[in-house]
Amino acid sequence: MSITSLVFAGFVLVVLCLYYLLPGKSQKLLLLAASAIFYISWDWRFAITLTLVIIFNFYIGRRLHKLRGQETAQSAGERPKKGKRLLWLGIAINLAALLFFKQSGFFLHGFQALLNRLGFPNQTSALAIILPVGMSFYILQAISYLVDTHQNQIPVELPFIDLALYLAYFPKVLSGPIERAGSFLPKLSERVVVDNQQITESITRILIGLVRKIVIADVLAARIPTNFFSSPAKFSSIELIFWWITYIISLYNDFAGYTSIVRGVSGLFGINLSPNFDNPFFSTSVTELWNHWHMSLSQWLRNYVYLPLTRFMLRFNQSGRFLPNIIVPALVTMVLSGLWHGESWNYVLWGALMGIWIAAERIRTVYRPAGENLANLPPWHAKRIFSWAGFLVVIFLIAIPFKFDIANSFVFWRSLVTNWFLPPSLLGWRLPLIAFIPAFFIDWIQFGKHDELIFIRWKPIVQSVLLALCVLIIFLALHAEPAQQFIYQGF
Amino acid sequence: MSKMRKTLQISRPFGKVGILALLWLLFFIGAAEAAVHLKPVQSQLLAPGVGNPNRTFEIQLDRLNTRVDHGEHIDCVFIGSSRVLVGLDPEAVEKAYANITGNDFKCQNFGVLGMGIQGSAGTATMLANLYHPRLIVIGTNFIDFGVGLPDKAIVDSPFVREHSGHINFDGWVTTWSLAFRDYLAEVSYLAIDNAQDEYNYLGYNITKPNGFLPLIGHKTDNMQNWNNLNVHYKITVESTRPVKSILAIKKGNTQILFLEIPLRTSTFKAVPHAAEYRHEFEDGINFVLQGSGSQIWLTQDLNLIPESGWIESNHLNVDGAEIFSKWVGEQLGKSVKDGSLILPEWSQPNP
Repeated sequence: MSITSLVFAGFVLVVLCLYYLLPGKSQKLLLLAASAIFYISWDWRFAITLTLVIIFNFYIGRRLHKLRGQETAQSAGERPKKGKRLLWLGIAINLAALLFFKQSGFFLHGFQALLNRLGFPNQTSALAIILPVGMSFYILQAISYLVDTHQNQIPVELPFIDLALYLAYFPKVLSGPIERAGSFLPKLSERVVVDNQQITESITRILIGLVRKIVIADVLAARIPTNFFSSPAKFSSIELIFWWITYIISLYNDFAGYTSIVRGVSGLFGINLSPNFDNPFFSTSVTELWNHWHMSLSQWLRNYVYLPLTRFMLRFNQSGRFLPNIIVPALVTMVLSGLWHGESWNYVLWGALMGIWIAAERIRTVYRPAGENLANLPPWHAKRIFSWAGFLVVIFLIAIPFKFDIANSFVFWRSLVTNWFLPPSLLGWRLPLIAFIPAFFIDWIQFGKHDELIFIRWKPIVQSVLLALCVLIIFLALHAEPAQQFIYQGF
Repeated sequence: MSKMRKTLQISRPFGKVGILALLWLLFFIGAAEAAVHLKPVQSQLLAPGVGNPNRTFEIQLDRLNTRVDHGEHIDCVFIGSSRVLVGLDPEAVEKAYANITGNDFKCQNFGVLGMGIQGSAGTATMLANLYHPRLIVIGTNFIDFGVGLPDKAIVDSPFVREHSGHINFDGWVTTWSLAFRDYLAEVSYLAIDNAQDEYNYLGYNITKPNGFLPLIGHKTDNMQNWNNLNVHYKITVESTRPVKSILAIKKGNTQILFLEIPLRTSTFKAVPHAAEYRHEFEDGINFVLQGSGSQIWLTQDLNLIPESGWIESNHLNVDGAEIFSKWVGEQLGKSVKDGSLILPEWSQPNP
């Protein structure tokens, strides 16, 4: 059940009607049942994995909660060693499960290469394991739950249904946002009032999401030449730049569109999910980009990898200017981010490049005297424009291994330099250039006012014209290109 | 955790922007519809599409529509693959028919590139429902029964489905909105990414208003492309199913005739088991047609086309098409005259 399908729209409508007809206590049960139906609609076997993850984490969480109570009662100074051991056990088993499903291909590939050398070709195909959709997202949330429980950020012992909803809640189970347990769980009980304003905001988010996904992302994705990622050497430098920008804009709108839709849907139930994007391409540094791109993952990595690792490093040398203290946490965090995205070496390279660049930016700010704060300058200021252009060039170049395998990443970089004199084929650019218009329009308007819902602050007559145009272009775009699967569901 | 409270609080006015948007939507649709009906606008646009993945299909439909819109009564439609598109000249058929019977007989060619028997069946049903021609001629031979022909997409398109008895929203919109049909044509054109495809897309300029595509020239036979095709043309119960669905059209006010489109003699040497396939084709079709009241005119063994009448292995050039079409027109005239082919009275097409 794709979230852009009419079936999903009908499903949400039915669940909404039942939700507001039922008394408060039954609402959670209904949401859980709806989540189960939604998840099973993808593949019933995935639901078994998710159920096991919920039961396991419920058990560990309850034990952690009990141990915490006992430790508090015994003595405040005594180190809660038992709890910590249990926490690490829980984290390890969650990660092992994720690794088992996610990285099996990575290891099987190497194992097969070894078997090939030994003269046993095609032995591992029978072991192929499919990653349950959304697992990369709900495992991170399960870890968040265990850590937050251990750190006493969840004050009461959690009912099973709350944990199940936290991990399986249907708007976010496929691709997040990755909610922090301590901030999401209260939302289940303290739901916001769904009044006219909340409904308007939610529907606006859904519409923005649909435009991003159907009008921009799908149209762009369908137009990228099929051999672009496998044979970049065949393209001129101009084409490489154009199609790579097209891919990045498509990827961004695909995921931002998804997030916007699910936040809108969840908002109709009175549960506000965290934002994931904040006009990332208006950043002026890679560090800033990661504060605006897939924010829920960035925050998770910062809270559970980067900061603990930095604290750990500081134990050995307390200087904030000590280079390993700057480089190692950034590098490790981004390589892990790469591995989270996929099971191949190109993601490791991508993560390493991102980590190195972020570390370089950090070193620059630590070692150079503080300069002018660019955020305080107007967007058209020369310094800010130069900084922005520089950032775009850097992110354009270092993001290449995200989609190209390692060999083709190098071919891409080389071709970018050598293929300037190949004649570009411009015919295929027409539709992407049209799709860039709404892409740029939405982000520019949102960024200009720092308000993702700026459109509903406009006069009703303008809003109505925009709404009519949205409906029209969504309908038209649906008939321009075949629907594409959400890219982040593959991670 | 605190207690649950009432979470839905809708107050008036609600949905004002939505209602206004609906009015705007109607206005935009109406304005677009009005604009595309203006001649100066229409002259700037491509031939309207119907969302069919095969552009020749759309061009042929536009050709037929244009003639019907100009008040012409189309008596006969030739349906089939590119062999029909380039092999049957309606003008030559009409002349030959008129010479025999003394009557007017308006024909339209609806040959579509890459359309096999399955696509022909869907197209025939659609055209019979929309235009009620007195006669549908399915031009075919064993090649149209090949496994793996890409013509299923033609019959699966919403517009064809809509007019083959499967009501659907997209098909309905396509039928009633010229603006939407124009949009479909323009967006498909914009999606083209290479010069060859663009040339093919705009190739309708060389198709005549009666749907015939005259090919000029004569090439020595080149069988290379046949050897590369990993296709077999075995006639099975499954592959003759479309023939049965074509015969079902006969229940309406349309006569059905199958016509074998001849192949160059050398094709039978180049395609492995071609003679066998052709034999199976003849037997298979005759078996399905038994008792249906429809007939097939077999032409391969008549040696109608001289060597100079071929553009390549299985397509006629304009000279070959002239000879073949004349023969078809004469046969039609004779058959109607002696009563072996009964044509129903002409009935009004759908609006």
